Amino acid sequence: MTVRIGICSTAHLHADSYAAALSEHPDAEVVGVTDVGERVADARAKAEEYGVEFLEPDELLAAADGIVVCSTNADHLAWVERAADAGVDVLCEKPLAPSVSEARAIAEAGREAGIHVGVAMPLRFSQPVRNAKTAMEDGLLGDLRFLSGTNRGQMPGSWFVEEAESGGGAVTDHSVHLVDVVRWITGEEIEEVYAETATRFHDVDVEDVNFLSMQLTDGTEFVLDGSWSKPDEWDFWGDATLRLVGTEGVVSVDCFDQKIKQTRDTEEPGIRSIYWGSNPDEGLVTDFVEAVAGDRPPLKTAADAVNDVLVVEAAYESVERTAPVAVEMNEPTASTN
Amino acid sequence: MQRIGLVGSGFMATTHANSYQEISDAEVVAVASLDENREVFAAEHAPGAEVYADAEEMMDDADVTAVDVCTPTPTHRPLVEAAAERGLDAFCEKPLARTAADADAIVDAVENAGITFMTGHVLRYFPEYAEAKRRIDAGEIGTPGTLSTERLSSPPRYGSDSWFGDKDKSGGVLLDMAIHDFDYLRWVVGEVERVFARTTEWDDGHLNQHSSVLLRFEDGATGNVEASWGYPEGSPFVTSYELAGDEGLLEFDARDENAVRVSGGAEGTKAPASPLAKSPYTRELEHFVECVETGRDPDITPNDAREAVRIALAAIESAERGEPVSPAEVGT
Repeated sequence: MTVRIGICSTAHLHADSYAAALSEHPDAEVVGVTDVGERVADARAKAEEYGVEFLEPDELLAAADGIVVCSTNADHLAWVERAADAGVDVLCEKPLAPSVSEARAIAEAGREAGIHVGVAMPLRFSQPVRNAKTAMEDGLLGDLRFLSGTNRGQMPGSWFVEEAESGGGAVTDHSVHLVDVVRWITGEEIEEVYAETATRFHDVDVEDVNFLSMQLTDGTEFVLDGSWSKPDEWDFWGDATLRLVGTEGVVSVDCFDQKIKQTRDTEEPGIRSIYWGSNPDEGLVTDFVEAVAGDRPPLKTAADAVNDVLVVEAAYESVERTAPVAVEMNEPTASTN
Repeated sequence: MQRIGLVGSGFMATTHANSYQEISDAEVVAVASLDENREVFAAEHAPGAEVYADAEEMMDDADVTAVDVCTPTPTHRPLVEAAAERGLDAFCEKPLARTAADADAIVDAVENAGITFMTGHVLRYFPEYAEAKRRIDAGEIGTPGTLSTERLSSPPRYGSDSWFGDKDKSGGVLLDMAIHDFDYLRWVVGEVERVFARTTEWDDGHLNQHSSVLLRFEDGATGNVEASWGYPEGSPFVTSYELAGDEGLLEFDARDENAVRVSGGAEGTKAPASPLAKSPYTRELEHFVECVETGRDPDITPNDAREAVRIALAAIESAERGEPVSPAEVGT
């Protein structure tokens, strides 16, 4: 069967990659693109670019089995509520919401309506991350003792630096990928977070420095640099790395360290790096398509993602207090939404 | 010509002795060590040097003009004080001292005696680090924002009586190894306002530690120093940095350095390990010798070395207390 997927908002640039992966998926069809308000013009342009129709939200939800939400963080809840009313499953861009209360409302809306709400965590489908998970499950590390990760990138601009639309800067944008990977690989929760933030790189009203020093529920230490510290002229968009230090061994993964170095004298002069490794978005999209078809939760659920947003909120509290903050986690709910 | 009295006969003493052989204005004329290897050490690395079991006896009896201290950290204070009392210029390996009180005492002793004194923060003489500092000073990354370093190793398997594994003596990975990066970043950015550290450790016959220290500098820049003595035996020693500012980025990763690669080779032969024409240790000691000869103040001041110790001690305290700690409040 063909699973019909609609794209709700193209405010987040990841919509391009998801649309491409969906259009290449043998069992999926992109039924259209929608948006509301001021962003309709952008969405219409994207619909044309993807070669699909622009539909009004109600039309799109009526035509779709599932939707991918690529709106601003502040609009995630409204899209999930529309999907809940229509009984359509959702794959929501990360972070799930700009606040814990909205994240909980999203999970609750999905649960009450009996729809599946997943969250786009492509690193769970990064082959290097999966190799690290397999190595850890195989016991290679001995006892895991320390994790250090980076998810540094270029400053995304646009609504990402408008707190009302995003919820915050680099802490909001670049913490949850690695926090999720670590929670997924270890099966532990984040118990405590200390954060150092600042605005050092750009003339923006949100933080672009994001250092988190965390401890997991089993005492494992976890340090993360999720700063928007890569220059605009860097040769790639950013990085995603994780080192797992154990008593018997160390596994380090650099999710995008499979690149061609390209130099051009013409058209776009300069040096850039081209990623050629397996595309995590393909795995992400395939999981969602199969989840919709099989009426099962996607690998990463909204209920689980509430705990990622809890870490983000605790990080901001840590900055306020210049002290480590205990994260009051929800009950583990990973297998359902 | 400076006549050096070298104290110690271990790993660093070997490095220094070999470097002095390349420095025309200095010669190791005496070696003092508690270790019974001292005669063999001197014959191999400081030919012709007189050999002593007692450092103070060497300072009194041998015809030395300067002392170089390459001994376990807690012995630095008495040895530097002994040199200062005798008016002998002194070089001391890092870290300057195990405690803030010892660091203060050393600074007082060398300043009161008016001797030339330098501490071995050798990273400042590693070209890849010195070059980055020059470019940052020239404004090439703009205003620094995040400064991250890595220094990753297996636990030290050298050192008399395994003293590195005794935190009471060495201070562990933060005081003994991360201090390189603390001094470097302070040199580049300035004073540190607070640190927040997490350290894990385990014992497999050696003290294994892995640590990350978040730094907040007084000017608002931030940093992360990650240091490990937790890698498996035989792992390559790895250093890296990523120094980001609002106008640019400097990246170095030893894992990407492949200036010389060797595959195979005839039995009993080897290629030189370092692709540098001059060792950073030789550069460091040349600077010290030049300062002694000319009376110039060394680039690394006694207070620089003390502040680096304070940052490391603040990190150790932070990891123990689970709170951010200011280097200024250490030992007060």
